[in-house]
Amino acid sequence: MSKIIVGRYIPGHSLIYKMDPRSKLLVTILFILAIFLANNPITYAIVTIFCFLAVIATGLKAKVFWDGVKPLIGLIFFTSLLQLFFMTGGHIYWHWWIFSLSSYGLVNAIYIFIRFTLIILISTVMTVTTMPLEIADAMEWLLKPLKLFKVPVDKIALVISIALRFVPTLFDETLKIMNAQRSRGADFNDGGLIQRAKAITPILVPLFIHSLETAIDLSTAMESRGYRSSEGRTRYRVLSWSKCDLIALIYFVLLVGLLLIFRTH
Amino acid sequence: MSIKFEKVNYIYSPGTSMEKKGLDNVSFELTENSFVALVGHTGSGKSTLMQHFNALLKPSSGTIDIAGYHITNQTGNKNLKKLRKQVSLVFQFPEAQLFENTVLEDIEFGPKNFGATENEAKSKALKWLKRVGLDETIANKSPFELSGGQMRRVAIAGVMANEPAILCLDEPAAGLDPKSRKEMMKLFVDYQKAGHTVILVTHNMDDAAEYASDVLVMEHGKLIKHDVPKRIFADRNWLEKHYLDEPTSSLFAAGLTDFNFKDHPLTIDQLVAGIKENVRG
Amino acid sequence: MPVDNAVEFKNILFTYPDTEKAVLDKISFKIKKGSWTSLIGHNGSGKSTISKLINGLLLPDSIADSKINVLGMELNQETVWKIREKVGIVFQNPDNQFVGATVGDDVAFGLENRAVPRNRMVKIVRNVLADVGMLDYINAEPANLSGGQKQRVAIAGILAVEPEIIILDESTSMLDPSGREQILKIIRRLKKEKNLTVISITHDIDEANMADDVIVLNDGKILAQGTPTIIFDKTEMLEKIGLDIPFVYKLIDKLNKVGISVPQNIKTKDELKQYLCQLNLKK
Repeated sequence: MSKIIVGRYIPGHSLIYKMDPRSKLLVTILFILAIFLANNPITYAIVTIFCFLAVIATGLKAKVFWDGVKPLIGLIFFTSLLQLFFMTGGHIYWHWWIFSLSSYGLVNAIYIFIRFTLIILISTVMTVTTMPLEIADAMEWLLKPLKLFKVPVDKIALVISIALRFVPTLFDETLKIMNAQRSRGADFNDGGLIQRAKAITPILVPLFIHSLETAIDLSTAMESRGYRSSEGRTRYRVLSWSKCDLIALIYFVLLVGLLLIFRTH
Repeated sequence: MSIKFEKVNYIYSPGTSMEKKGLDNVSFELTENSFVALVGHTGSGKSTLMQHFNALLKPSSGTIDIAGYHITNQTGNKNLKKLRKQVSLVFQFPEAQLFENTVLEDIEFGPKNFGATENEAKSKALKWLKRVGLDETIANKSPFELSGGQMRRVAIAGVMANEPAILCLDEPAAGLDPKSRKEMMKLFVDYQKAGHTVILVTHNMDDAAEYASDVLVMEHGKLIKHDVPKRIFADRNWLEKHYLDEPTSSLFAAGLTDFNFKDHPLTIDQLVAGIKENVRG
Repeated sequence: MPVDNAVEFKNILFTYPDTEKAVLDKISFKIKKGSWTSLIGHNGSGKSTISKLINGLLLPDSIADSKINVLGMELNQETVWKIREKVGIVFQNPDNQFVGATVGDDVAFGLENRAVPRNRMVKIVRNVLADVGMLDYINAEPANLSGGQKQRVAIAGILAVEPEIIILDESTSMLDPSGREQILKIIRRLKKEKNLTVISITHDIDEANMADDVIVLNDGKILAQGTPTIIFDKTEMLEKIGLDIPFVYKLIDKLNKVGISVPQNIKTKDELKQYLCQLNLKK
């Protein structure tokens, strides 16, 4: 009944959705790095415009992105305020004890604010348009070189994908157990910290047992379906590059080009 | 205690893209001390309805009167304990709710939450341990050492030990073997006879026909029929239209052409009696 | 040399670690190739242990003169993977056997394990999903499927690797009646089309009544094996061990008790209906 969304994926049909998750992940990471190239008003303006174009290209409502920024807004303001009051240099407008308000501080606070917001926005673009499983696939691809160092990338990828698959199941089970214990008179809202911690036991124990049983059943099912090891398997799910990925790449190169031209050297 | 639903609506995730009607204008009244079968397909709203009985879910609109409580969308989460002491739910596969170190402690959990003293809780737990057909010797075992069927019984004892006025069970016998199934059903019938209301959520029309005095039929969140089993199962075309099974005996009787049944048989004993009347004429 | 038996157990003893009482107490039985065999017995009678022994998920205690034969192969370390290719199990809990993130991924799991090339895999996945009527759901996630639909996907996942034996290990016990009916219908059709051997571990006595062969288990021992007619005539024995009997046998029993004697050879609902109608006309 209660279908929850794992991660923050929201189904959609715009071009960004059609991108290969690998290039999406890669471009997102590089975009975040590129944000740090900006160091003057023009470059900040450029990177902001590019970021907002990407946001618009998702075709999703502004609220989605606001929801992404909202939980971190305090942190953004706090960091900006630190810059504002502790950074010295340039013209000093005001000074008291260890605090000062300087022109450097002001500019830097604004930059930090923009930088932070843009990083959150661009990662939101990635997370809302890509299914968690696709992100896992893309991460596996990015981590592939680690195989050289004997890191079991295939196994890790399988574990992640199974874990993601069971998040909604566990969520449903938690709700069910909570309802069952509530019906037996358990109260999860009342009392002090210790009482509340105690009240969690009737949820945690059954949930733990359930997970254990699920794990045993699942491994039995996997074994009976011929799973031996993560090596030597073929893959059903493949990733493929498309025109959208090329567009994204060109878009990104354009951004870096403009940043390099206009940034203060 | 009587139960009254008036124009109850329930909406899942209102205001989002996943908005879904769980209950659609449901109204009915049940008399005290009845045995009610709540039937319908998976996803018909049976579970949603059941969770309204003890205010795990509250109506989006409409009112519920149950066990002296008046529940609306304004009802807060405070003071629900008294209601839940009166109205208990047994969910599907209730063995999933066991958590204590010993069987006895697990059964005591409910009574203690509802204010019983150590001694009261213990005597209630022992009483219900026996009632559900388990031996006292397992009282100090861990519930997780028991077989699946025994765990089910412990879980049901844990709810019945509260001795609620209204007991609502969701497919309590699912996955049990036939013998345990019969014993479970007898336990609930006895509980009803002792002066309580029992509501059985089930897919099993044979059980509905045999035990229920009232049948509620849900479909797509709507209550499409509320009647006595005799009249519910008399209308074969209506059942077929709503993809509902007929009780086995009723179906068999329908295949006996040229037979005249005074009352269409719903249970095997009624069927045997009916056949006897016909062939002996 | 053609093999007649799909499964053969000889003198099999099985005890779970850290316990003393044997779950299976030196049992022997044979299951015919191409048959539908139902294994019945109350909870804890050892039914599910048998299914896990057949494909080597569990190993029997090693005692003299004991062996498990599947499709003519003696089960051992070398043959176990080959046997698993031929034996598919649909387990009880629909959720706990769904490995993939989507329906398509899940069906492909067995194929991935066998390193089937992707282009063949894509074709097979579509074919078997069509076989169980789930092709429209190929991209659906398990959270959006009903229990019955998940079990259909599990069946597809097994069909994908072309087994010869399908074991239904209480696969319908967590489903509603319509889900149960659908699964049985699909298995019946597939059994015919693909010439499968079906071993069904079940509480559903009316389902067992439609099997070719029934094995009754009690306390780790085999009480009886035979056609449903032979087995369900032993009303007393079944009731003694707490098993139900099919509706028609119950009805005949009750009719006999009220003085309407039903001839011995009547075993199905239709036969009984016919007989009763004739009786009614004669009066």
